[in-house]
Amino acid sequence: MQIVFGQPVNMVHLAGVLAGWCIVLYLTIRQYRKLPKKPVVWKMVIVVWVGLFAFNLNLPMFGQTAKLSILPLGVWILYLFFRKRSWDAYRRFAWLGFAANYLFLIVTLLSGAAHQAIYDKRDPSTYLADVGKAEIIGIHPSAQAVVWDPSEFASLLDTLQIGDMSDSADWYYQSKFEHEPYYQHERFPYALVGAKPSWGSGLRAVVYIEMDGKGLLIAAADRSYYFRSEKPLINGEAVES
Amino acid sequence: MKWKLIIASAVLLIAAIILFFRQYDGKPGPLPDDAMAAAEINEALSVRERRGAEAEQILDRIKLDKRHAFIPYISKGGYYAVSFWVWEKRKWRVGRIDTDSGPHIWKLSPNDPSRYYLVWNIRPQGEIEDFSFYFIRQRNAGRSDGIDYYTPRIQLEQPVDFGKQPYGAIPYPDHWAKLLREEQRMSRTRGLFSFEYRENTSIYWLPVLADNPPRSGGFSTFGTSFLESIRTDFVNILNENELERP
Repeated sequence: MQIVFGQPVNMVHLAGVLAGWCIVLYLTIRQYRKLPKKPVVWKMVIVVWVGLFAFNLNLPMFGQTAKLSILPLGVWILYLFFRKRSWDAYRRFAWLGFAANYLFLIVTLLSGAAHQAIYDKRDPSTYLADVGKAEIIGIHPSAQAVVWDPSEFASLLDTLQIGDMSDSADWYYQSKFEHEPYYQHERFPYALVGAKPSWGSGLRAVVYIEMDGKGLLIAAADRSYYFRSEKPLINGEAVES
Repeated sequence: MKWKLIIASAVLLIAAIILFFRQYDGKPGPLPDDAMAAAEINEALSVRERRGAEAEQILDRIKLDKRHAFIPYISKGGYYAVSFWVWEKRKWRVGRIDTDSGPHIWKLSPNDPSRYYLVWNIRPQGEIEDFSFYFIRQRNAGRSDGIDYYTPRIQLEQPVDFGKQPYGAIPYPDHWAKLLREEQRMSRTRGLFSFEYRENTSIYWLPVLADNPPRSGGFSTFGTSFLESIRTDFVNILNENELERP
């Protein structure tokens, strides 16, 4: 998990990872207390951490990537390092580190499920929770000067209907060939930039608006969503083609 | 034993201080004047192949921010050359020199498109009247794994008055930077392998010529980097037929 300052963060996953580390810490302490012959604490901590190092298989599952650890590389390295000296005292902690990989695998799956329950990826307002500071940018010479009202736009978000995207290839050809309705025009000539997604969702999408002002194309990282509105989302001269 | 420890830590401390000050950038001073800039360029080139790239006439010294400057010049070999300067380790340093005459993109910080610059020093050929920079992304559509997708075409133009600005440096237009930023943010959330943003947009330039159609390439090229921190890209000539004109 990588966190970049100023970037949206998936809070559900972050909470899961923190909880996972708490469990690892708890198990380490419990193991330490059980042992009659105590290992050195700082060495023990490093052993758990190195034990985590493993060869992973990346399995795509439910729209996310789960890491299935197969080879305990960290444990092997530690074994080579300790040999006979005090391997017995640290062996458990090395394997504890390796086992933590499976704990984090469970964390990834659970937090993924929880994320899906909390944030509706099919709801446009998940990506457009705050449009107060957003703006409309024309991205193609076929864009017109448009005015838009953020509060009116936000109020229309709830009324949107899922649109049919199955002929997106036709959209492409309609812009590509002569005598087609969008020849030399772009069907989605406006981009909505600067919108904020739902807090903690970590979801990001680039949002485009259709030439007639009534279509919304949400290009998220994993897939695109297309919505239609009864009323125009932006006000301008819609080009009749 | 005790003394050994103290001496060892003192040596380490001094080494750390020296290392710190060798890497320390310090507060940026004034840009070198024309003569000094030319001398620096020739000094930098002297360890590489020269091929007539040495500075003959400094055209301008354009400061992009506190630590970055763009210095276009005409070389002894008659090239319209560009040099990229960075304040690093307490000194203005030539980071890169190009003599290809075409425009370049200079990314002052790769993760922040509002700090991308378009720089150029184009040989006045008598035929170029104006030129434009174009920000282009190809339209794309289809279906993969049962999911439909559609990527709108981006085509934005930034005209430059060549008569007034045969050389110059401008930041990416506001809209370009905002669009790129939006794209970069989304790609980063994809995580795993694509943390580094894969660019699918391109910048081109298109000279408006009096008579002849634009030639792609045809310029002699010579580019050499002195500092790793400099991130530049060539700007290719656009094929005018590729433009959409509604």
